[in-house]
Amino acid sequence: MLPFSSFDFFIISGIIILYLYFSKLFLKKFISYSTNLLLVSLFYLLFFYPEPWHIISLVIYSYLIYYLFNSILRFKNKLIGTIILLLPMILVKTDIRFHFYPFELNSFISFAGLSYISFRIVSVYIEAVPGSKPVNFFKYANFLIFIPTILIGPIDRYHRFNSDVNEGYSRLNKKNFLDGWQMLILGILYKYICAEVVDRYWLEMIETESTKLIDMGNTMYAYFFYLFFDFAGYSAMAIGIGKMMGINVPINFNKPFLSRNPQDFWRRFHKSLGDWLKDYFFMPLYMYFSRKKSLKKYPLLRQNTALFLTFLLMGLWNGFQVNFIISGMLFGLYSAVHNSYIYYCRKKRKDIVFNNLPENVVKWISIFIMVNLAAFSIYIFSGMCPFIS
Amino acid sequence: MKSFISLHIIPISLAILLTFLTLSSGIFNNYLFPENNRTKKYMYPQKQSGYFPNYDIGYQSEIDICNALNNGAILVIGSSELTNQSEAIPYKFIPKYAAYPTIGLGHAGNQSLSILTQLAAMSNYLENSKIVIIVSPGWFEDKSSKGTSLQSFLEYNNERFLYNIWNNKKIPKQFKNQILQYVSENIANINCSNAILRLMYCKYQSDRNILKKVIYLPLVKINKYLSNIKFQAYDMFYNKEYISNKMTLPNKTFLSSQNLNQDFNKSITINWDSLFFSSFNEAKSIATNNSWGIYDDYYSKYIKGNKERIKSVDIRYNREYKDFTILLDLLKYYKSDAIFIIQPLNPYYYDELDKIDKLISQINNDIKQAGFGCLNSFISDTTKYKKALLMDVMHMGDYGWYKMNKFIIEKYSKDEK
Repeated sequence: MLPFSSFDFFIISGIIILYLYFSKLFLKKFISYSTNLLLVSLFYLLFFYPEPWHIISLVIYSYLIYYLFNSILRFKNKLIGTIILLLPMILVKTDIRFHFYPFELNSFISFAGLSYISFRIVSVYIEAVPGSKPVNFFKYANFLIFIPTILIGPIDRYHRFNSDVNEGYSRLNKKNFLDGWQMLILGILYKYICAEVVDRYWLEMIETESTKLIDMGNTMYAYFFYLFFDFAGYSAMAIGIGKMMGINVPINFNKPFLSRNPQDFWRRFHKSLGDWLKDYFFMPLYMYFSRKKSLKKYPLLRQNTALFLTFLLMGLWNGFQVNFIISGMLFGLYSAVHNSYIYYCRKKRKDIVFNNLPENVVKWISIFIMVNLAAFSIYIFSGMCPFIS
Repeated sequence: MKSFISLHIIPISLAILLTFLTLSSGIFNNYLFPENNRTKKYMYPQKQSGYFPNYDIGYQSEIDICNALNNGAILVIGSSELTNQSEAIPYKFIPKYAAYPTIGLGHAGNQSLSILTQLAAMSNYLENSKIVIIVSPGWFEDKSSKGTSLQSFLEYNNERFLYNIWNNKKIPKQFKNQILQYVSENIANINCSNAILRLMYCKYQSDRNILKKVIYLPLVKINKYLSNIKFQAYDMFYNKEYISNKMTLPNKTFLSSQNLNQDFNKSITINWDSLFFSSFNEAKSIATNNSWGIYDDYYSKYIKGNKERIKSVDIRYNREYKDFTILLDLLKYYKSDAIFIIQPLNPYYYDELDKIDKLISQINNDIKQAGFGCLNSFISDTTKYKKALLMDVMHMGDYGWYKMNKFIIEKYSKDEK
């Protein structure tokens, strides 16, 4: 039973939250908050989650790799370690089959939520200073298998997560419970009502295979709204239940329909992924380009190349299908064009496109353009475009 | 806190209370939906012959299929081959030439477990039922050997079918378990699963060990309750004359009162030799641009001289084969008068076709051991293969359909005598 997939999950979550509050009242002296969190996550994993041993094996495997590369070998270059840590995810994405088919490698290593766990694993490894004291295994496991975020994020950070855990049972308070409840209700409204309505009464009514411009445009907007409500709903429920369990899960969506440019869009839409890519891929890549003597004279090229490759990676992460790759490349292109625009505006000390148009007008034109560009790219991503699938 | 209570706790409590009352209280229901105001749907069997790709047209198709099984019409179950437009296809040919009601059911993806589940749901009507199962060798190779896809399973087995299986105490555990196991293995991939699917999953998990039994007990209870009240609500709107209390498939006694014209027309003599001769020659005349016996259009559009290697899968790991043997057991257990037809694959097109010889022989033997008739058309040797059998690489041409029709008619008209 995957998180948020059925009514039963909410019953189990309710029981777990009740148990945590019960522990705060009566078991505080015997069992710590962090141990309790780990225990309830393990309970859920072992009894309800599909392929629990695959997840537990990955947690152990990744910790051993982390320990080996960071504490024993003390590698400063994180690239090899990152690739080895991402290996299970890469192997699953490449869908390798053995000669004694139908057994596939995926049958042994794949599980729901592998991508998101991999992101969290990599963040722990990259953030660690080589040779520093390794993170505690149990805290590490607690961070990776935290129930509300195990399946599709939001992608939290180890130190932020553990700062909450270290506060102990005081995290279980009325304010967090009520705030969490509000988010949970919002998530339910988004996921089970708004997304369902958009899906049943808008998206399903469209002939998505049609090559008429009007049908394609209709599908594009319908899917954009559907994806937003579905995903933002999931994220809000994860934040809500996380908060009720005492953990502040980071915000993932924040009015993306008001985005004015690509950078702004990724600060509002699936923010935790945008932040992850920025911190662990874009920045190191940009720094790498900056160190290259041959690129020293071309700051714009360095930035744009790093931006384009970052979004290409985002597309590839979804799978090696054409629609994902093109969608990622489109977002990369939007970002590069916008970055060039900012660069030249700064250089010429004026707005090179909108000139002296009032700021409010520029704002709404930007929002209109950005929302449509994002909707188009997400439409390509959906695989529903009859020309690219 | 006050606003939390007024904005959240009170509305949610009211919603739960109203839902509970609407679904479970007879008094409340009778007040909301007075007995004489309820629009009851009186539905009777309509189609005695014809084709259903699935049950998408709704309850009427289920009534017609149950009726066919119960009253001795021939039910031909298969997969993609049944979408053929030919007049030689059994559900068109047999009613026309032998004046015997025949229904076709299924399209691509309808494999053993999907068929097993449909028939288990209709197990009340299986005794002496005339079922023809068209087996495709393709089910047992490559990806298909992993068994029925989730999409097909859900397409062919709606909530009502699963509910019937769950509630039918007469269905032996071995068959139920196979279905429960499938649901349990796949539930993670079902978006917004309904109560009966969740109930099957929870029940399967709770039977794993004592610890799981305890943990899953409340979930089994809740999902059982939810699925029951949902179907009780359905009951209000159906005619109890032929729908029993909670089971929503037609009542057997009601169906038995419906008459079918079920005598094979013995006055018509079918000239099989002439049909074979003409269809063989016709196939020859439209398969001219290749030497593999494939119709010209298909060959030039899809084949163009390319071959494909058969991807055989060992019988030990072949999930589809396992599902198939359980389907045989089900038909045997319910004393169905079933027959099987194993289709050929084009041995010119498929390389290493002999690699599945052993598997197909095993299937043939299993069918015979279960006491059912079987027409095995599978041939891996090109020298023994009759080119007109198939129109492409895996679907019957008219010649092949006539062979099949002859087998079916001879078998069931012999039974009539």
